[in-house]
Amino acid sequence: MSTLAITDALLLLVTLSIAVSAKQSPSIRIAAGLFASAAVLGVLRFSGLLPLPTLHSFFSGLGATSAFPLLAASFLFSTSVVATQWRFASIFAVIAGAIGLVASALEVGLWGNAVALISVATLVLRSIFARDGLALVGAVSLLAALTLFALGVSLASFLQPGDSLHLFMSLGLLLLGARARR
Amino acid sequence: MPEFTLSPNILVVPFLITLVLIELVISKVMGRSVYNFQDSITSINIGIMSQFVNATGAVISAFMYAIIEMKYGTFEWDLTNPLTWIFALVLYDLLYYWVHRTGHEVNMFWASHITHHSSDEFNLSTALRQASTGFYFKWIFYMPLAVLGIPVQVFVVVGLIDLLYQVWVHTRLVGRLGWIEYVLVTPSNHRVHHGKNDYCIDKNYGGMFCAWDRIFGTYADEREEEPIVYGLKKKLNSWNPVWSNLHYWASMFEKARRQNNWRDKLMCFFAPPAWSPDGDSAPRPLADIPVTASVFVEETPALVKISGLAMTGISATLLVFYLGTKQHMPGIVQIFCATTAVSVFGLLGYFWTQGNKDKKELER
Repeated sequence: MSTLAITDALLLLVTLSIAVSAKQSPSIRIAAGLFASAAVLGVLRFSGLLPLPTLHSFFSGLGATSAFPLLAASFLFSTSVVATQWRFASIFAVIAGAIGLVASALEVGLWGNAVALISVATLVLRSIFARDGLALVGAVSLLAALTLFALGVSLASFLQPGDSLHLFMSLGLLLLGARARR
Repeated sequence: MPEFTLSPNILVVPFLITLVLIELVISKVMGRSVYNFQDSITSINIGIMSQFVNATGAVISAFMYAIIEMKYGTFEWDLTNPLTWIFALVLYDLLYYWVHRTGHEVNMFWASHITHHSSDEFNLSTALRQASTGFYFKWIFYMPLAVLGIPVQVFVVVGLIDLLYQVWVHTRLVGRLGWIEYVLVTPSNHRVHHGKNDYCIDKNYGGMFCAWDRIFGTYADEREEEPIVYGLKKKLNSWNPVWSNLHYWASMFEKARRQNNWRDKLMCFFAPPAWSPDGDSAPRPLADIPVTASVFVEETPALVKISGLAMTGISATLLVFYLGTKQHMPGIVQIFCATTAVSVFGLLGYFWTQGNKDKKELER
């Protein structure tokens, strides 16, 4: 079993706990649900139980293009209809996902990375301006996750770059989830 | 002369028009008045125009589907196994339910779908009254099929089956159908969907199976004691195929323009159609809506009738020719043909509407 399966399982635990929590806003729950879908497919893939690499990559892409912006919107506009109502959070997720699919079809390869990075950078800036320490650590963790993965950096010799992504995302989402709890 | 290729969607055109004629004859035999001449001509021409536009627009859907299926298609499907087709059809119908529901409950999608509901009549010609502007968003909802790896040819065929199934449910001549009402979408079920009575609003979105409405809480039975009133709460009052596609877009943009802040401007596009800036999204009860009389004279003038019939015959013939030859045309020529067709429909629709209006209305 690859370490990726274990770190993805950790990410699954964190995201699932946020997605099922009634104390979270609809937008955060949808974003966490999308991350959880990618994570469960990652666990199945890297553990060798049921490898569905294309489905995993699809949901990972959806996480980048849809869940990260939704997460950012939840913090930036916390009283907006997107953050507080299932209906508008779903519409936001579908439209962001559709744009991501069009970008993918047109071979705009950097779209997902760029959207995720911009969303997280916005979260960092928002946390600084709001003097929100917990959210700042969470947002910086997400930024670290994306940066380390993009640069292909491993945290230790026995870990892979994907592990850095999973571990820092778990930490980041755990903190942001704790911060956002109503 | 470009090479003509016969495909199933070409045969659909005369088939559907024949069905309309059969229903017309049966209704006459039964002594039921379910057809209004100019309304039906308009419905058929709206359908023909939508085929001109969607034949090119559908390429976007097929392109996106094929690319996503190629990139992310997860499973291999045995096309010789009937279960593959049944699974694809059921899943397509579930996704159709959500396409349809979104088309009613999100204003910018309702702006497209409203065309289908703009007739005050309910008959087989209403089924042909399809929007020309819906192709831009519908494909998104069918992506789960592509991600599962359902081949594009299966997607197209089950889509066609689902679409054709929905034609026959647009009739007032068939009553309730016993146990079938619990399984399939039926004329009774779909009459409720087209009604503007309060109990009919936002109900019965199913395409082929009514299970989705029952599962997601949008099912309503037809009430014999409350005759259904068809059409839009705010009458279209136009026989123009182009205007029937654009009138709601115009009013939606105008509504957004009048809002004072960006939040409310965006809400005009993404909130339910009944949304107002005071936060109320509930549809207005039918009783509260002022009755708007038709601005049309009761008897359609002969000139309008003749031009309507002639245009229908000519446009249907041109459509068949276009569908049979378009695959040999460059994309730009296809767009030119579709644009020309829309312009001609717009011009004729204008004359039909003016020629059919009550003089008093025109003088007002």
